[in-house]
Amino acid sequence: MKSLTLQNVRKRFGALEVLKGIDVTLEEGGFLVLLGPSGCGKSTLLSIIAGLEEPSDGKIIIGDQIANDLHPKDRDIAMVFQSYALYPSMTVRKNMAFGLNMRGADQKTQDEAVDQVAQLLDIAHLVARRPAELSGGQRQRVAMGRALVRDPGLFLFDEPLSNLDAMLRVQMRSEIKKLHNRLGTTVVYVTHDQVEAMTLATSIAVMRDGEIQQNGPPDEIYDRPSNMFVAGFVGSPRMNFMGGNLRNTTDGLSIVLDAPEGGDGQVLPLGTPVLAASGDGTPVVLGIRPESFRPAVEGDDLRILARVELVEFTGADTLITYTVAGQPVTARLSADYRPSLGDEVTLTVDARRLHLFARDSEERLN
Amino acid sequence: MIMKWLKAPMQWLAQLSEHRHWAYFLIIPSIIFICIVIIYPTISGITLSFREMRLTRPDLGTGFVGLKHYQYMITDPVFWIALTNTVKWVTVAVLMEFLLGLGVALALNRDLPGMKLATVLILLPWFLPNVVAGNMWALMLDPRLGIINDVLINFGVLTEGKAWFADPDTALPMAILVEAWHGYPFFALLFLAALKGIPKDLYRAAAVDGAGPIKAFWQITLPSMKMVIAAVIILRVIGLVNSPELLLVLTNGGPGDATQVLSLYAFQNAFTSFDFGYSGALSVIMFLILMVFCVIYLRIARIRD
Amino acid sequence: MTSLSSRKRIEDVMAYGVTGFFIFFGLAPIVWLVITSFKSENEIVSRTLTYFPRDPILTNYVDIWNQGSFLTLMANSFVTTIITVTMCIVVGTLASYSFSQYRFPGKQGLLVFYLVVRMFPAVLMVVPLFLIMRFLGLLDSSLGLAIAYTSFLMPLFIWMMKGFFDAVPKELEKAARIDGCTRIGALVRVVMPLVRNGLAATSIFVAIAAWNEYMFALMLTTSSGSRTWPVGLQLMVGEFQLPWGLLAAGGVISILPVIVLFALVQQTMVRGLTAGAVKG
Repeated sequence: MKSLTLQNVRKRFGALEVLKGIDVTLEEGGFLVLLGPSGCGKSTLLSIIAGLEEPSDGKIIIGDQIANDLHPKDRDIAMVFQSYALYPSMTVRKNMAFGLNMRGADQKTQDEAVDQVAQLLDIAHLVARRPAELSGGQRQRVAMGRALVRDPGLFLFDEPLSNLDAMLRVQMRSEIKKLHNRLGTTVVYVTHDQVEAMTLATSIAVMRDGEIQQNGPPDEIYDRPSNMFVAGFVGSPRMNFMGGNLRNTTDGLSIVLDAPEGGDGQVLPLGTPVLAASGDGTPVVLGIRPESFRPAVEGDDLRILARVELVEFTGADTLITYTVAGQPVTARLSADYRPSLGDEVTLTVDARRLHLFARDSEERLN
Repeated sequence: MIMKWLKAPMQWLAQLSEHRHWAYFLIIPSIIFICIVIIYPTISGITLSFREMRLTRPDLGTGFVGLKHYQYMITDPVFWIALTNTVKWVTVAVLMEFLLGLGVALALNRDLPGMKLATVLILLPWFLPNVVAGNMWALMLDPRLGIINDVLINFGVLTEGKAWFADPDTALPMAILVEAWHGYPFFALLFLAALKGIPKDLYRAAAVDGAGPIKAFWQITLPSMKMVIAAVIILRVIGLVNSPELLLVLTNGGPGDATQVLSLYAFQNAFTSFDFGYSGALSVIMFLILMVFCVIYLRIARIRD
Repeated sequence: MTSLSSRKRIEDVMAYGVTGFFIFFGLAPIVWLVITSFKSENEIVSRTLTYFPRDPILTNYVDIWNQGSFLTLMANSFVTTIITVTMCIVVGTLASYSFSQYRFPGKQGLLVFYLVVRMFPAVLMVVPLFLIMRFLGLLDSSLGLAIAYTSFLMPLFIWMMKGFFDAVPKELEKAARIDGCTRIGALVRVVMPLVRNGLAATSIFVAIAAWNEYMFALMLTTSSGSRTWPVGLQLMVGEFQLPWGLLAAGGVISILPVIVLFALVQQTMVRGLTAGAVKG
């Protein structure tokens, strides 16, 4: 297994800069997910790591070797494509053995490697078939098998589950995770699906417009997003954002939410000041994840006045859309809680689950 | 006024279109047409091969003569020459057009700037009439006036202008060259379309797997094009066997019978000798040979798949 | 190790080289024809070959026009072509629409039938067609020739138009019928406008084929009454020992419409030609 380091990788297409200085370190055996919306540059970055495209600037270091001038076949990598890219005129066996074949391995080595991997992926009964005869899930496994057979130092996945239906996607996701646990491979995985990112990754790099917004383990990305983009991208239903101003007075730190007609609305005490340095009156955005809400009881200091607008019962929870200070806010509450439309209620949130962002820079404050 | 006059038939047509079998109604005119102008003449042509009909010898009548023409054919040396020439003509021309067309298609597939215009220019020979193409090349290859001879003399390859189409050894090869010039765009066009249909991801996967450009060509490009290659080849073979036009204009079979092919021989018998019966027999044999070839060819193509 | 980009550059250069060669190979004879058409007879037959006309002249064009009654020939070709294209459009469009949009038993078989019919040798049908035309009094007439042309061009027309009709979503006719059209109304009002380009390209493809055709024209026309230009031109070469300059001029005049039309619709035409072939 190899590690991967990217230093100041940039990519320009004419005047358009698609990657604006990417720095990443991935340890051996790590599972890095490049997460972001379409057009953020994640697939381009993967192509550059693979050697299918050249960076305009920057270094790609695989293991302890600078790989910039290396042809893809010499980088000790394997890749699984979104479209699987299985060779249509070859059997599954030939597909999987292709890489070894190109490197001059003898037939015996090829067959053994293919059989071993086929067993691992539970496709041993399919090795004599052609891609056209396989289902989507089977093709996906063959694509993975082709990569595994090569036993490379680095695995690259380009949205491999996007073409599968929802149930298969969940199933294959677990299989990928099990494989990773078992084999300890170094993986770079591109996706736009944040659930895949959260469940599979050892570290997630959230990308936007060619830049990495935040790079860290999943819990850090989730619990301490470094800006509003990351906060809003990861987590479903999406984090709620409410605009307001900080008030730093002798009574303590609090937020004054914007009132719908302008001016001051509700005041939410934040208790112990977490950001002592921030000045009074700083415009901020308060972020609260839907699952952080609960109905307020006696003794709660932080009280949020809300009005029920929409109730959606999902079976496992109740999703309620409230109006808070004129803004829609979604909360995920217990399935037993069934308010009526129009109810005026009071909610509360654990102060540790509050996210504060500067309104202008969208950067995290607390 | 006209609208009013057309109203009734249009309404009838509109109602007709709602009929259950409207789909069939739409194709009936074309089927009738084909039956009248293709099926009937073909059957008639086949029966004609069993009859005597020489416009220049009305005294011989137009009665049935059974297999007389076919028996004559077996002993006719020109028939056998024409047969071997047809095989040579078709095989070499198709081979050349295949290679040329493939080369062009691979180059044009790279989608470099200027290629769109190049495509138009490269396709042009296919759309030029045989009459003009034949005479053009005849002029270029003329022993005295031809530019090709001139160039060859200047390069020292020849000492004097060669009468390419007067020499039985060079007439057929030169005719094949002209045909290759005329026909390669057909291959190029369809190969280009086939190439564009190959997903780019296959080449990226092959690059990661370690295949160089040559290996990628053999393992990915050609296999993906198998069906189109088979289809184009058989279409061209059929076209070349059936149509004597280019040779008609270029050499008319000469010198002697050096460029005589079956389709041309049949045509000449019909419209130079006016021996319709024999011409029919020749056409039928040519058709049968073609059909046999097609069946064998399709079998082989299916097996390999 | 050669990096990816340097290898790509080498391949690009090779591609340009090949393309350049083929442009030369394909165009050179045509260019030579045009050059020859501007040369005087003396220049053409002179002992030393000139690559560019020393004294370019236009008399070749004038002479061929008058001498060969070229106008008549072109007019005949034009009439025949128009009739052919019209027949193909009227009969062929309906058929190809049906093949494309409707499902019915026997469809596959019929499609194969149309394809197979194109395989029949022209030389086999030549004589019977000649006899039929003579019997019907259609020999040596533009109409008769057009009918013969339509026989082998219509299957091709149907095959190409089917490809264009295939690109139209089948729901459109259903939507139109819900909105109140009859089936033929939907065809005319909704579908046809969408395949306008395809129809133009296919029609021009057929027109070019009819314009260029030699063999049937040779058999089925006998006098200058309906003789088409390919036959006329070739006759002049054979019988009258036509000077090369005039022949070249005649050739250029005749292929000019072809080149112009081809350039106009080549993109759509290419699409139509390749759509069916690649799938089938």
